[in-house]
Amino acid sequence: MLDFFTIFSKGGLVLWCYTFQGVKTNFSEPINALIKSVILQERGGSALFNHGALQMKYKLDNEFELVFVVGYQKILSLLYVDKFIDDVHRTFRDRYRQKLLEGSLILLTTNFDFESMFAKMLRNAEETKTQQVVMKKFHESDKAKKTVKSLVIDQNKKDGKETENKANVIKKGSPKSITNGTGSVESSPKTQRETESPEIARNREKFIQKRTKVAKATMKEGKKAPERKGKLNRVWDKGGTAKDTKDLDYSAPPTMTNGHSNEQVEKEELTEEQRALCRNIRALDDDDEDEEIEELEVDEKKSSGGFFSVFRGLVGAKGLTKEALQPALDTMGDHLIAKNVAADIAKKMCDSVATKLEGKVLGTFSTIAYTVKQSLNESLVQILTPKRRVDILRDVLESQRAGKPYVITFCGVNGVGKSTNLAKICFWLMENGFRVLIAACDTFRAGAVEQLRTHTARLSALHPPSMHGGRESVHLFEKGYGKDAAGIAMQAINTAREMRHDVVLVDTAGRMQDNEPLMRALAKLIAVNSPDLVLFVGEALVGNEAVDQLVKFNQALADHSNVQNPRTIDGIVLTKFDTIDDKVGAAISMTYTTGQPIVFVGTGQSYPDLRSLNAKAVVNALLK
Amino acid sequence: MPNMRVKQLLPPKPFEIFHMERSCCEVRLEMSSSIEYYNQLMKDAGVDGGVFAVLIGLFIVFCTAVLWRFITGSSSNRNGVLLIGLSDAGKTNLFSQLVSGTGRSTQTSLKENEASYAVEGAKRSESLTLLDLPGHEAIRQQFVEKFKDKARGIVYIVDSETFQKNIKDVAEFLFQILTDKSINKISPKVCIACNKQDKLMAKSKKVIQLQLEKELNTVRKTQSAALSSTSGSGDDNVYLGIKGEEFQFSHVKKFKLEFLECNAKSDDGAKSNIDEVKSWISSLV
Repeated sequence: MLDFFTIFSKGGLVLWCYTFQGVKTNFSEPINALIKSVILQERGGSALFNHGALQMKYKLDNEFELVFVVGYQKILSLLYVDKFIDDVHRTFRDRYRQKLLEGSLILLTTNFDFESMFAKMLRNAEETKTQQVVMKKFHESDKAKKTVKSLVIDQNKKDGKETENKANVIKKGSPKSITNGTGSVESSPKTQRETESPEIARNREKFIQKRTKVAKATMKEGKKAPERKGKLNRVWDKGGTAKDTKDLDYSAPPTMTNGHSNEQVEKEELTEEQRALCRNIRALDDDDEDEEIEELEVDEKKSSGGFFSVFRGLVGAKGLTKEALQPALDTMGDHLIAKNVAADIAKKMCDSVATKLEGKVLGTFSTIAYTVKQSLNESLVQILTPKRRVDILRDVLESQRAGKPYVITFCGVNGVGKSTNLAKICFWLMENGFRVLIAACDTFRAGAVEQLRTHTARLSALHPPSMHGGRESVHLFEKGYGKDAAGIAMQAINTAREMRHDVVLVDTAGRMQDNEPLMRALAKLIAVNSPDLVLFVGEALVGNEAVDQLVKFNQALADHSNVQNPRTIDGIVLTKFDTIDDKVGAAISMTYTTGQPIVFVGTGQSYPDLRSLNAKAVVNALLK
Repeated sequence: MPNMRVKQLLPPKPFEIFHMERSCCEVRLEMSSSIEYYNQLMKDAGVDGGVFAVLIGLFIVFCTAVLWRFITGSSSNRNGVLLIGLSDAGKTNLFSQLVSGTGRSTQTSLKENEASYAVEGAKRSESLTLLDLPGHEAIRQQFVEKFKDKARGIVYIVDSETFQKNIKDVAEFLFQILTDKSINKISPKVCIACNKQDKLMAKSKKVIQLQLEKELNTVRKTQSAALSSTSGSGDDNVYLGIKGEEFQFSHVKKFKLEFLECNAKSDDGAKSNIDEVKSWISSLV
């Protein structure tokens, strides 16, 4: 039931393809769409892609630089595709391993005779899909056994110890705490805090004991070490990564025992020292902390390209696995977040890099960390590089020739610098000899029109009419406050056409992305006037919020415009770029979310402080 | 100060040219005596042998580095022919035609294709490397950056059928190539191959040349007015053509620009015709 299955090299040469019953369908167009909008945009984390009625799934082979794409009708929702694509991948690779190693000349001349094998595999896959997969019962699963056993027992012991401990403390504690806490095992956090000070001495003692235990534990670790095959493939279970939170999170109430809510509160209140008092769970805790520390060390070693990593590179001539990549990816992800990249985007980037690197064979002397960094660098540059031509002057010239004004609309949330950067862009256009009309469509904020009037006065002082053949090169179009912005914009554009202005800059009121009536008004303004360029103005200081803003603006423009092909944001103006030093993550967040280029960067207070984005410099600052 | 003196001593007094008649023993004697002589000199200069040895070591390392640079620099010797152009211009197909003589169905490239290309009638040692670079906007710059130093020739492929629609993009990318500083430095030969000539709506190379000249003139104007980039370093690109004159391809002296016609695809009954490209490539050797 597959529509097509095709195997091509990353260079773009189709090696082999299957079409449903030999029907010659034109599938190269959907595949190109897949490549352009998924693989090249670093959205590699999820390998599903919809194009019209087709659903496609792809797999990258990074060792031999191959791409496997399978396409089928969306309504079919085939369950076996995942496994099938893996199987085909493996078989194809094993069968042509020799040839694939020999480079593109062989790829061109070889006839990959894969039909019969593929047909057999497809038949098998389609047959097996009919067997209903019975879901495992909960009590059969490992997880059920584990949680019940470990959590229940730990729970009781811990509680027991807790009670003892509390009782001791209360005896020693102040009378006040006795009155507060007598009889109640679930003493309040307040009491705990009060009783903490007499504990300190004792805790210190315990802590020293604990350290010695840690030392013993590490010695044990050392004895175990030779069994493992070296550090490359070691994955720390419960190593503190996001995946392991479920296992490590002992604070969650056990599902089977009918625990009191108070217990949960208590557990959360446990400090390190108190935990040290609970002997029975100590061993477990120690192990965890120990591992955390070790993992950190490992990470450091990797990032510094240390002695061991060179050895690892020498020994491990195997393809990279996801597990081996994970620690390096986690560090890179954290690094990106520290540089102000939105958290989920940092995660998506890392996933994308993981799919790009999985299975790749490392060079003799390259470490995992280095490879990851290199690949991330490429991906980031790729994201920041515009996907289309960005040459506003060229487009203005074009519409000048056509005798109509070029309309740019600015939108964004409050206080990001829409009017200021509008003035800067106006200055730049005037410097290049264009006549500009500024439309004051912010009819809401007090002083918005006056602000633009001041800018206009200044700009025309900088470019007096004498410089432009006796004609004013900048005008302000305003209709006061409280009017409909869309109407004003339309009048402004008509005026510009009559007075032969080259560019109309439409300033809109700032609005929160959640404010529906205002978003509706903006969508109307854009739908009615259909500007040539819709610029979203965003400040570089924004963190996780950037994604939300852009997504909601785009969504609102699409939802409220009642047109077949709604206009969405075409470009981004990144403002206040001079204030952020090297925390340039917002640039990545914004371009990744929209796929649109950053057209202007505002870098200061004066009119000439307008720049274009240098992708390489930004990426260097990010990965520094 | 002692270092200065040592430097003066460095061009060592050559051992006398030994004649064959001399016995091995004599040579050894000669050497040992000369070493003693040097040691004496060193002592006079107030430097002990350790420093001298280190200096000699450094000198040898330096010489090796220079030699290595010389050898590797000469052997790579820029033998790449870059196939570049916009996405869907037919680069990979042309590559396949040139290398294997048959067309292949292709997809958008994600990375470069590389193969050696033996020119007919040329020596084995002078084989060229064909490099087909991806044309998608997001990655093409990176790949051009990576391979531009290897370029002996550049084939800029234009889709003659959709030329009118894509003229701005075609011109901008060509402008980037022609004004790139390091490409100008090595000044490879450039040919503009007008592909897909078999199509009904295809423009001839004459038309393409004229329209590209006009468009490049505009691009030159807008690019010089473009904003400088954030890193502060101004773009150090070369000015295209002659200042103060309308742009013409004949003004570009650095590259021997040529316009060719070809069609790389061979379906629909039409035969592929890439002879012009082939002969142009063989002119590179």
